[in-house]
Amino acid sequence: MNRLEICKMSYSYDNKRYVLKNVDSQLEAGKMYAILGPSGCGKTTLLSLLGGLDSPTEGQILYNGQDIGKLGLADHRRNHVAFVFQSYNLIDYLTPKENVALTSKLPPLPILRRVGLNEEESRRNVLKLSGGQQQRVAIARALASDADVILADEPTGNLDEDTAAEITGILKECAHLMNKCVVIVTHSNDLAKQADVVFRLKKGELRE
Amino acid sequence: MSLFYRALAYITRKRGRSILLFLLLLVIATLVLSGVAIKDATQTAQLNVRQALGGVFTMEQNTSDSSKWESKEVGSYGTQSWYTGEPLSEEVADTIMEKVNGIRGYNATATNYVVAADSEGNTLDLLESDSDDGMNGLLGSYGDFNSTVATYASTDTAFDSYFTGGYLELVEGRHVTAEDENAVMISKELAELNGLSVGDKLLLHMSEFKASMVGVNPEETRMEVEIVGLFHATTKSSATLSNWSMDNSLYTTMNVVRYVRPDTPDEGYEKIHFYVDDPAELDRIVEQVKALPDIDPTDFIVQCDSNNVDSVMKHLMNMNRLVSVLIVLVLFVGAVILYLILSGRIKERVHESGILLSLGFSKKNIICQYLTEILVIAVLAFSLSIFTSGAVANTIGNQLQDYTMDNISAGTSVDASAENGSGTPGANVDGATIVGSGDFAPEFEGQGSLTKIEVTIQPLVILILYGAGIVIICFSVVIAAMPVLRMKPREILAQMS
Repeated sequence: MNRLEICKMSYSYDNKRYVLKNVDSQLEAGKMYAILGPSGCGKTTLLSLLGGLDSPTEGQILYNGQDIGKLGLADHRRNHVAFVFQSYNLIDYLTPKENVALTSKLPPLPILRRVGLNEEESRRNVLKLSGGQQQRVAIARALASDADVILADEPTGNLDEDTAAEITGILKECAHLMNKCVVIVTHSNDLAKQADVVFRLKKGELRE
Repeated sequence: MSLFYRALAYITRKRGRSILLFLLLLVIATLVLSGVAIKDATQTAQLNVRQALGGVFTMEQNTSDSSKWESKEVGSYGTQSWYTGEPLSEEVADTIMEKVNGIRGYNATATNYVVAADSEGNTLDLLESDSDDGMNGLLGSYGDFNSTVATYASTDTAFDSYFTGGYLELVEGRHVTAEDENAVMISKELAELNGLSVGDKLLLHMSEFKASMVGVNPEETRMEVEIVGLFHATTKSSATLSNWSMDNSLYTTMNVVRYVRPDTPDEGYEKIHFYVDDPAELDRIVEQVKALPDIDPTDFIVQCDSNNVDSVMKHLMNMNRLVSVLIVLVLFVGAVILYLILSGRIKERVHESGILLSLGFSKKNIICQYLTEILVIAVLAFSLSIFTSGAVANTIGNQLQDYTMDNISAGTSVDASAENGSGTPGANVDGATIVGSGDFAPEFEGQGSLTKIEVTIQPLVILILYGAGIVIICFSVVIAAMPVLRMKPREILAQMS
């Protein structure tokens, strides 16, 4: 079943210059997608639209067949999608456990253990964790929300090669073992190679 | 996770920022509460002054006619002069009371100096007080002169200006009135020194020195009087002579004074103080009294000197205005600083707002979290300010009061000296200091009960502070959060990156 469907969607900042033009695509559960493209081509914009952070200028995005604009973007963000950002975006005055608990519909500690953080690390100040550990917390937070769709914006952009590989492995597990629809925006061809489907975004058009 | 949990986590883990905001709110709340309390207190003081000082007018003999002055040689001591015009009597006062409406009561007073002894004839031991040692030494050489005490003849001591001004208070027994035959009031301290109490008898007589001067046998002036009341001075006083201090003084009736001092049998009262019901009616009443056919302006002077009241009121009103300006200034500057701090605080948390939005939290939920954090800190700061403002208000209030007192003292010193001569105690009450209008009348230190600034924080003011504070905080947070509220989540996240 298609989790997300993009129907003739266009996006423009000023109604003149279109960043995305007539994008049509389907994203399924249990698969990891990679979106490649040069800087400024609209990858992050596309991810934001899929996550309900903004509304398309034209066209629509369907979640399980329903227009997310009609479902309510905040509701869509809260219940259907989870973000993983390049810069982790954790709340700095909350512990990893509390960051995960922010949206948690599931107990946070088992999820944190699953992504490789022990109990002591789960109670530390998030700013005292390494970049890799912070990204694991961000992924744990996405998993804890029990959202069907995980949208990752350059999730390995700030990580060393080994850690990036580990994080990619976790995201892959999310898609294949947990039946999530994982969409990753990246510059990295190595990461893209791990994806089940690779899209290229060029001049506002999305091609497989 | 609830917004309350997030708010408490922020307050407790971002301690530096929380303490900074707490201190800012504490300072603003303390200044506002203190200011309001001082303003209330100055308004109460104005009311007290108006009620206590604004409703009095006086009547004195007009001694300007030189043809009515008589004098006689008193042996080798020099000349004794007295005025023979119409005496100031109770009958005059009663006529005024009868014919003019709105007068609450009066007190006619005259001062003299007698020797007081216990019922066995032992001259009373007197209390020491601040006095001119040189004068004491000089007059001590005049026989028993240093044993004389100031004796105030009064028609109703309850209306005596020392009592109405709060400088003296009745602590035991009752006041002396015109109906008394041989009653006397003495100070509690003098009573204790001599083992006397209410109901005990005293023997009063003219001093031997004075008797020899006027050719009278002092034994013939001896009169037994009964102590009917004890008074206590609320502030320290001093007199030219230690034995004439207020603590050694007697209050009695005119007939007692006349008996003990037969050398001036026709002498009337020196001054009558009339107290009106409503100070606002004072001018009308004075004009009505002046217009009475019984009151000949060549015999009597009727006046209400409002200079002292105006002087006190002027400074209190200035103080009130100053405090009002300060409150407005503190509120305005406080609100601006609060807005700037809250605005900065919310702007620096745009990143956090973006994260929370991306996690599906609504803008309302996020703003409510920020608001909760500030309100929790504000409630704590406002609660503590109830205690700090009491201390601050008293300190500032005392400083302002001292400043006001200085101004009042400077402003009334001329009036005080202008009134000297009548010998009436407490004729010049300015609410801050009292200068006896007689040359030898005791002087009190600043009693200040009228202008005293009793600073108390009223519960209503605290409620208003909470209400106004919460409104200002909510307003500041919403205004500061406007840019965030207007932005789309993507724009916030774009700002973040």
